[in-house]
Amino acid sequence: MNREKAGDPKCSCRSTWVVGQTFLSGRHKQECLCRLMTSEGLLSSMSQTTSEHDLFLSLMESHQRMLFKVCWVYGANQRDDLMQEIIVRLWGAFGRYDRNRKFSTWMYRVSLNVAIDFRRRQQRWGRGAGLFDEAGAEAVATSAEEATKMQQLRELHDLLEAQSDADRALLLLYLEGNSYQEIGDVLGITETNVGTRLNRLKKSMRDAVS
Amino acid sequence: MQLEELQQQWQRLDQKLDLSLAMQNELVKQVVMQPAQQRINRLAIWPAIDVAFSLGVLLLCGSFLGNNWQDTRLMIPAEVVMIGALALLISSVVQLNRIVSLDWTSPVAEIQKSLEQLRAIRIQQFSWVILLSPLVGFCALIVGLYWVLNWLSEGRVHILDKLDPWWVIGNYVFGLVFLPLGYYLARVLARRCQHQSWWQAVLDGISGMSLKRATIEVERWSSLGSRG
Repeated sequence: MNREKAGDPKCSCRSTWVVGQTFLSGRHKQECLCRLMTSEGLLSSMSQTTSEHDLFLSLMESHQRMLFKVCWVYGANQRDDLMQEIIVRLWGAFGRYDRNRKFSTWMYRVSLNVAIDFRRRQQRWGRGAGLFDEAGAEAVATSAEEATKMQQLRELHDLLEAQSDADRALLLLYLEGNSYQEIGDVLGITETNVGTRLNRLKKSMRDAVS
Repeated sequence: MQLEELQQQWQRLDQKLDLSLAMQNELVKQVVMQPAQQRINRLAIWPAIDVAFSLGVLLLCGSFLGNNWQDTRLMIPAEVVMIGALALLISSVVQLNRIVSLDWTSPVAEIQKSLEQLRAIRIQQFSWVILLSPLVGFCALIVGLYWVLNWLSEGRVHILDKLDPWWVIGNYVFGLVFLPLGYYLARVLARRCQHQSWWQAVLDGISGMSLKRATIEVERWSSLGSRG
């Protein structure tokens, strides 16, 4: 295994880590990895030195929140099945991934395509995927504040449930903080179209409240 | 609720993920290290089975027609079975072709449109298979029984000599009548089976309701990219 120094100037710890396997632990590991393992950084530092397995595992680790949220929105009570299906598709397509392109865009495309298809299959056979998955959100309402947060998450989930498949994908990408261009790249629509649809969504939400 | 408020709520989800993420990492490792245990919806399985089945039927029917081309009473059922198998083969090959060209890394609107088109072809195939099954099934029965009896009696017994001609004609007529009748019954029953999801899905498939929904979805995904 190759040893490398963490060279990210944003990371204050400058911990030593082994490619594909970190020596860091706990919360600090999460934070540090998030900084270090941006897809582009990983690809440039690892593609020459590690196998596809390790690269894939590391990229999945650095993008796991993204994947989880797709499953939370589309899978709900069949989240694990959806997760497995997405990972299998991602791994199957990984050989064809163009490393000059942004990993998150590629990952969103595959994940959303599989998730929307999964959801439609579930709906067709009456296995509605629309229930709020408390276990998935690790919902242990230990205090009033926690209960309020959970209620808000439930409302958010219900609101996403009420949207069409396309609008749900659009909202998810928007809420994740992607730019209009990135959203357009993932969905295959123009930036103008993204803006128009988001405005329409804002208006419909405002109308629903008033 | 504003989108900005939603964004704040969305960020709260992040705080609740840590335990789930550990489980997710295990899943990723399993998928990569143990590909044999993967569970995934393989779109190509049923069309591939249909291709193999219809090719088998076509070969048997072709051979049967070759041996009995002078017997007009057998030509009709054998040709009906052959046409049915040919239609199934074409539909399945079209599906396989679409599945092979599916690239899950393409933009969402494009892939979802292709998936809905594929779904529409499947629904149509399913509907025709069910509606034609009495007619094609009876024809296949005649061909099969003729072949078995001919083999057992070494050519001395002809199945159509042993069957009442009116019964045979009645079955042909029922097979033809079942086309509109089955469609009508499926439409009526679909409304009554709304709490039985499996039956609902089957009846919606036969009556064209699922096809209608799939067509709407195709249009929706097609228009997504074109609207500004």
